[in-house]
Amino acid sequence: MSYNVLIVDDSRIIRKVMRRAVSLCGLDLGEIHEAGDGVEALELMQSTWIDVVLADLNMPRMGGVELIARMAEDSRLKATPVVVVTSDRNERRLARLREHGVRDAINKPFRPETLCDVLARCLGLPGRGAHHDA
Amino acid sequence: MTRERFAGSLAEGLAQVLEDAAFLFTEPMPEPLPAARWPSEVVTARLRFVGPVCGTMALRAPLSLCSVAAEDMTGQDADAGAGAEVLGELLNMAAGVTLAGVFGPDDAWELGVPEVRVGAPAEVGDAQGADVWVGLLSDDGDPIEAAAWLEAGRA
Repeated sequence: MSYNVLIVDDSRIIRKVMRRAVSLCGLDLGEIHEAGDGVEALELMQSTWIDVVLADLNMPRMGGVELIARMAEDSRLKATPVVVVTSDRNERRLARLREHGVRDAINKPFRPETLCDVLARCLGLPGRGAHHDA
Repeated sequence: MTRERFAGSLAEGLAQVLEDAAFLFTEPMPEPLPAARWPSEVVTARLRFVGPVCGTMALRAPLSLCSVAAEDMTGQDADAGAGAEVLGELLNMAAGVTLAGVFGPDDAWELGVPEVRVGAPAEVGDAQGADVWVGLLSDDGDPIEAAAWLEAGRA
């Protein structure tokens, strides 16, 4: 069984960096989708099955906090694991997000191995780490 | 909070982010580079932050250096847009590390979304009037300049 990943970040550079890191994880992944903000992410998830969401917090139009809240209200999406990938190192804010169902949080800049381990943990797979530095 | 503490956290955080995210190794630049020694095309990124102290942080670097950083980060050829965008992302990361160092991880603070400009050095703004200034030089001698303008924090 392969797993679909959705990367949500307003920076196409960061989306490329994350796509590269995810594709090097050696996990049995299906399609890697991208969205530029929470609105695009919700639209995409209406028509595409996503197994895990990697989401930034600070984005124009709809940020990660609102995206997570909207997913929690949607019976189809509320069980989808969300990992926050952010430059915001405010532990109090991240603890609040965990209370609202966020599975894990990764600080930018991140090591590819960290992203892979978190992804594997969310999907219940053995962690393998990136094959090489992204 | 002292300006010296902010400057120390910014210098440390910026160097760490440039190395970890963009594979850019740097050394301190002791004083601002004269305007005439900047290349003709530079990128400036700015973002607002609010917390116990509010203000604006900025990062400035040559467009050519930003384009190389974008290529190293993504593994793909970078157009001029990617080079500019990458500086905004590096500022975002450096701001997160800096403010966590200054305020501590438990204090309430928030980052804004970076705004990026590309142009001649005189067009995109410099560190004039900044409360905090940090300069770094890349391995190849390219300047990277960070600055912060500080204001009273929210109650």
